[in-house]
Amino acid sequence: MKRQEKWLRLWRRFSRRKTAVFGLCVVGVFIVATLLAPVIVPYGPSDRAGEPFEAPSSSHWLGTNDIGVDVFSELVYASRISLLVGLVAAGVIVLVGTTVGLIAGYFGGYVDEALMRVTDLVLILPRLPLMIVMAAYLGPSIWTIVLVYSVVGWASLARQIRAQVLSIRESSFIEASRALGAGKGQIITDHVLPNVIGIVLANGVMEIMFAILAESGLSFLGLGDPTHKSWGVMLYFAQLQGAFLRGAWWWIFPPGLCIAALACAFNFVGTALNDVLSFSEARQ
Amino acid sequence: MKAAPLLSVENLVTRYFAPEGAVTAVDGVDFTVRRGEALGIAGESGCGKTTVALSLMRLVRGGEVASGRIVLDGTSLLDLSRRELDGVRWEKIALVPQAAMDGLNPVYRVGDQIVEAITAHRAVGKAEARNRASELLAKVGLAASQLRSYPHELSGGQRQRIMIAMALALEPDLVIADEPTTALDTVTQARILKLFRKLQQDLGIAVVFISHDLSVLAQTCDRVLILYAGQVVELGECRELLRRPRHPYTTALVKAFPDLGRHKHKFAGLSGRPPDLAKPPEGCRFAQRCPRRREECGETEPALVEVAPGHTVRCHFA
Amino acid sequence: MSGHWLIRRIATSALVLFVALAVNFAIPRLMPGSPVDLLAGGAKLSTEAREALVTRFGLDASLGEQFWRYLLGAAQGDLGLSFAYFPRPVRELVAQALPWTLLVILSSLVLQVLIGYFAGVASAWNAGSRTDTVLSTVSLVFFSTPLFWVAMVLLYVFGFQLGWLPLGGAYTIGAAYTSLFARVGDIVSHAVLPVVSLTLAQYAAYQLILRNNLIGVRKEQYVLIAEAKGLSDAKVKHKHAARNALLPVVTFLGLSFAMSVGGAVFVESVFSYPGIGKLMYDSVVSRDYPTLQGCFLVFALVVVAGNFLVDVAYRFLDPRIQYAS
Repeated sequence: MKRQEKWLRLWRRFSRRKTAVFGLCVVGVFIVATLLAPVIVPYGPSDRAGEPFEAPSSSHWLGTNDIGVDVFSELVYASRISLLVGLVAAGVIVLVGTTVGLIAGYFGGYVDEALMRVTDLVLILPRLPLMIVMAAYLGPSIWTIVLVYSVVGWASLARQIRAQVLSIRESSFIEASRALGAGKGQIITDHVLPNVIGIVLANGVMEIMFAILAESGLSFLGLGDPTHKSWGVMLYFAQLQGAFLRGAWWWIFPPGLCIAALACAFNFVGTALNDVLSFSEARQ
Repeated sequence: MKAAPLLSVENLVTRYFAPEGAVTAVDGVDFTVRRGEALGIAGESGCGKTTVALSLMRLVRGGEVASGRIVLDGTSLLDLSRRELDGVRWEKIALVPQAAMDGLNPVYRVGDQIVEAITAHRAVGKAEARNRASELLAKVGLAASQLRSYPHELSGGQRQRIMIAMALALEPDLVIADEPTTALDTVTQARILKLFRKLQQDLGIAVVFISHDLSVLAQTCDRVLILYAGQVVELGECRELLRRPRHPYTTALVKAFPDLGRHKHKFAGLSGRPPDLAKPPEGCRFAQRCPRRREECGETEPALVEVAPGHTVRCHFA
Repeated sequence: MSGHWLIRRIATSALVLFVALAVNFAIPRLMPGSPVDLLAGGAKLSTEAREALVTRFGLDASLGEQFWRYLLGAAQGDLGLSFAYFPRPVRELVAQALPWTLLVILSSLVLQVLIGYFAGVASAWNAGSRTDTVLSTVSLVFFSTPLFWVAMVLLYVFGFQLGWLPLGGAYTIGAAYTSLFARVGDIVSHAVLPVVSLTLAQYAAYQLILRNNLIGVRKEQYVLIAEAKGLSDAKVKHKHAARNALLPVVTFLGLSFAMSVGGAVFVESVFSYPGIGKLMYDSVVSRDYPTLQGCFLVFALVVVAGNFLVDVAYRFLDPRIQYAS
């Protein structure tokens, strides 16, 4: 009952922010678009529905690409891949980052020292070049992207979770349950986890943004899966086939705008969540 | 024969903006400071002491001086533009802030910070300003070599002396000292207070000395003003006021420091807390905590009345 | 005291480089399939060719020995031979490309810090106002927009449509310069779009960090005193407040080298700018693994060196650190 009230209060504070609500709406629109893709779009994602490089018209809202595929149809289907990769990669990162952060923060000592050294190294190595090298060896596929991004992406979240756990660990209710003989595992799940859930949530949303951006970037560099076209893969082909030289702006602007809009939306939501949750923590 | 006072504050009202609405932290305060005089301002935390100090220099953050007049040596401070105000600040009115040791910027040498205060107002060279700074350091009992120190290399007492030296750099007419010794140990505190009092008297500078500690004011001030919930409740000559407090709140404050005057009582201890200034109560603001409270206290607000020459009190029964 | 610190700092940098080398060494060996197949880039090799490769890359030795040889080679600057430009050494390729990348990264970092500084100070000093909201939203939008796409759009607008700036490359190929001035101008005009794209995509973090810190610093007593001293608003802001809020910005500058080299890959690919990033992109396309890994190492070196220099600079900025630990 009390917990429900708490979430309700947070929601009220969250929904007062215009940017947050806007972000949530944008995310909603994209999710609906991915689910209803076959209903919305006039053609299949790889149907050669028109002549190459047709300008936008009533039959092709966003024109066609170099092989005559309807860009709008391709765009809507691509949102599936972009969103899916973003969500899965963010999920893996949240899982790994939270686990590492919890273990390091809670156990302290050598465990903490060792984990944080590794974290620092991951943070300092140039991320994108490292991902490129790994992806180049693994070969283009969406799972390659999820994997290489997960390898480098968990570190900053782990650091934040650890810091939060350290501050919780000193608080009195943990001392109390330790005195009552609760085991370490139980303390983590009963006391520590509920208190880091806010950070995990806010950061998780931000991680989706970073993952979407990373996916688009790696795909743009030709490391994406050409058979599962995401927005980044679309832009890779656009660049490769000289869309600009042909003046085919309709092939280049929409995918980028979609990435930016979705990333922005997640950023707005994440920022608002972060503010709302840290505010409520400061109040308690 | 009465000369015009150096500083006169009339009906000062200062508000802070809060999400729940404006909070009137200072509500209609009047007082004057004569040349060379030390005026003490006392009261509990949250009574508006610091806000008065900041209002005098127009340094209120997150709020504003809503109305009133502040006249310093014939200049109405609230009417000045930022540029004109910059000319008055430190030149005529300087500040030794609360926890004064934090008043020094950690990334600059203390000497440079004093020199900066001088060169901002006087057309003098760096070398000349530096000489002036070493003289000032001698005055506050520090070696000139300390000018090259960074704040973190100095002790709390030393930093406090630097702040005082800096406040005196331009020999202003008025120095506002806002709880300048709070973070120091008692011995250092006593030394600093003595030094402060001496310099003030030697240079003939007027001081507004703010403290929650009446015993500090007893050592340093000529007159004392007691603030409660943003209003003046009593104002009078220091010894008189401490010996024969007329307002029940003053009485309670005096009793809290048994070594003052002839009150040898145990700490009486006020129960309760000051009222919420976002919505101040009707009638006397002290009524809820007042041992002499009667019915009318909750209804009509008492006015400040002169009970003896130069001694005013805000109480129905003074 | 400070000597101690320097030695420790150098040791840390060396450790990071060592890890970068180890990662570089390990990646091809951790991947499925034999390294020889990877090295061959998918081409079907005769037995003799296979053996030649095995001997050439020392793949017949034990892992430990291979690693040791690899380290020795790297220490002498031997990064192997490029597949795509065989038999040119990778070292030569990266040495040619590095100056262009440094030009882009460093100019952009200067711009990022400048824009981030002024935008951050402006929004912190007017926190909660319209200015603050607008500045914060703009930086957030740029932050969320993919860098390569910003670069593409700028290229389309200023290169293709308006024709104000060159479409790619670092200089006009085959141009005969009449003066040094003309030459510098040519190089600058080619660098404008890459530098601007990188800057737009990455300045936001500086603004945000400075803003949040400055809001805290502004409440400090010494900022109040600076204003009480009758200093102008500009002096209070820049000399007293921002100077203290700058320290976390400098820390971040160290970290941002890692982001900048990533950004360089994108802008150089879009603008065909002949730096390490373009080289890396090309080696992905041509499966030129030695060059790819050489590029990674050079990037790691740039990041480590950048971090190191920033750390040293930090000590000069904050007098308190010299005496602590």
